Amino acid sequence: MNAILLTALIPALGALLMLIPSLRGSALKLLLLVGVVNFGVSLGLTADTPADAVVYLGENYFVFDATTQLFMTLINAVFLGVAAFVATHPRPDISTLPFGHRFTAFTLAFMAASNLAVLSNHLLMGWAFVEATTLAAVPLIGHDRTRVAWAAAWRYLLLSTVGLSLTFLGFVCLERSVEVAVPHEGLSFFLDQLDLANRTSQSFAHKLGILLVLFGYGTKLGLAPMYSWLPETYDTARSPVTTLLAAVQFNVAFVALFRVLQAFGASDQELIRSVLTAMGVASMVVSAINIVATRNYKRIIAFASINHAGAIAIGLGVGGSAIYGVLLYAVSNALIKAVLFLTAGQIEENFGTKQTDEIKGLLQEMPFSGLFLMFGTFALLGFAPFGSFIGELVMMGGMIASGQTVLFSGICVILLIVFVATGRTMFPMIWNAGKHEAGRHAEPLIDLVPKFFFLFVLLTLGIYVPGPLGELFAQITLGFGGAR
Amino acid sequence: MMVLLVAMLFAVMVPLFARTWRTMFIALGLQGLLMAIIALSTLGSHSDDVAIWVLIADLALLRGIFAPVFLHRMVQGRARSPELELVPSNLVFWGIAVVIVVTALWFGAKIPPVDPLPSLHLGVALTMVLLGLYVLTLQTRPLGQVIGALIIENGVVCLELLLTHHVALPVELALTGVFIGSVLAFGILLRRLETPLEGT
Repeated sequence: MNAILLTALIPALGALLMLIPSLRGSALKLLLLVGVVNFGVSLGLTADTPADAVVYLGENYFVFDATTQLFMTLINAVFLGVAAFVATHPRPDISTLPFGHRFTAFTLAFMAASNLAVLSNHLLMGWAFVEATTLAAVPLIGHDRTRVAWAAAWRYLLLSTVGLSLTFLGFVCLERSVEVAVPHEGLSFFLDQLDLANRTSQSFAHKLGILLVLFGYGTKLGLAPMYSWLPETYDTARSPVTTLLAAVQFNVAFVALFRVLQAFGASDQELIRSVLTAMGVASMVVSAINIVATRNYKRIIAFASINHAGAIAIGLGVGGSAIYGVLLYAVSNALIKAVLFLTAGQIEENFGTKQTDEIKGLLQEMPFSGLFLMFGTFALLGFAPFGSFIGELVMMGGMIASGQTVLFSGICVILLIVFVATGRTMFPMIWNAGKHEAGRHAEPLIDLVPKFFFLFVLLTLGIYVPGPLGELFAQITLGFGGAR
Repeated sequence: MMVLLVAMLFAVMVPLFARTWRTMFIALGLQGLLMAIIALSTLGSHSDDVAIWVLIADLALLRGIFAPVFLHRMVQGRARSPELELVPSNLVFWGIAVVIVVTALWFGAKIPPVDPLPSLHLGVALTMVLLGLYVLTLQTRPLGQVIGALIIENGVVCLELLLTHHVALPVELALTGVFIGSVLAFGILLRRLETPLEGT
């Protein structure tokens, strides 16, 4: 089963190959090749492994279970889409910039760290890999080498580092609480050996530790209060990079947080519920206000990402059967963001602006991008029949079932505000009559393939969840204490 | 040990009152070296554990020497001014800093067990984390922000030294690798974001 580690080793090797000058000319071909191989390996392994199987690797530092199967396949699917988009994109974008091999090297390093983080069975090891994804993303964000790009990269690095330092501090507090309760025992940071930690859940250090871990990983998810890096970074970075951050790194941080909740959720249910609900509601409120105020479509999608992170945090806090909805919502959102950010990049490239009031008649001028933006926005807003609709519905059902009607009502109001604000800003771009002739901007068909694929999966998830995928969702929900 | 911890507290406080960023880098280096000596005196008995030696090397060589020297070189000739105020020099902000220090030390004494040394160690580590956060809230300049972030990082590692159940070698290597990557990223970005001095 060491083939599992290939998903990290192949991109790592690819990144190292970029050190050889003679191979740099084939950088984007290599990127695409690694994308295809990685997706093939992760899909093959997931199809070949039963949902309830748990395989430990590398002296127990890594685990291949239902959570890993689902998210490893997801992030590698998004990576393949991004690689295909970049490698086949004919415009003067990343592929034609003189430092294309650097983009490839750091993207592959980012993917190697992401796969290792998802595979990790050790709290500190997982933390280190999440931090490694941050470090690999910094040069990608600053790729344009402008002062604005470097400033965005700086803010991203600084807030991520501080957030992750607080997470690390949380782990140290958890360890300390075990030492205080059971002297000379110490806390094993292996996720499958954390039962000792549950016996110390009443100590102050333990509660502080949980709080810091949630706060720190919440920063990586873009949750309030430390969310300010997200809109600036997503807006400034090139669209393939934004897609990697929004759809890959988000899910890597989600898995890291999910693992902590799997370990401590039972013993600290009330504390976790309160903190996640508070962070989730604050994030949804902040994002709703900003969506109303902004006229930059890339920022609107970025703030919608904060909104989704808030909904996911609330769903995780609710727990139980809502976890099924959280998983469906998280998977759907990765695909929505991939479709929307890749489309936003093409629109920006063709129109030379990110302001919504300067763009009209997308359906006429860029028919495919117009359609992708339209369906992506429908999915973003939680319309049927997309997977995000079902996910949201299940999460809401979980809230009602657990008697949180006030929370349910509040979220409905926020979602309504987001719905109206997004619609009135985005839809005129798509439907209003344009200034130019139809089909003015070229849209190479090859560029559209990844987005068609993501949209197809999104639709499928809303209509019918295939058996093996449903098994994975059910298995993860079961491991979290929810019903099948 | 008490002397080392008091010296550490001093090394944390110095950057707050110093007015040049060179002094701050020296203080950061001093923090790393002091932590290495503390680690050597508390963990030296586990001399057969390679992970402990990796940790000590991380503290002495990376945090004590590499990080401050590398960042200093990156900023040299690029910084807007040789002066930098981490905390505005007036009694209100200094007063808040002192309150943070006292609160952290009191907090360290309150968390069980109440043995004097671990309590002081905990208090000093918490002081570093809280002062680092305080600096970050006050700084808009990248140079000041990176010093705040490194003070927090040092505080977390100082707290890690209290653990009796030490991390294994692969984890220690991963943590060390991440720290090197962070310093390199901070240094490269600092070089781009700090405007050169006029006339240079």
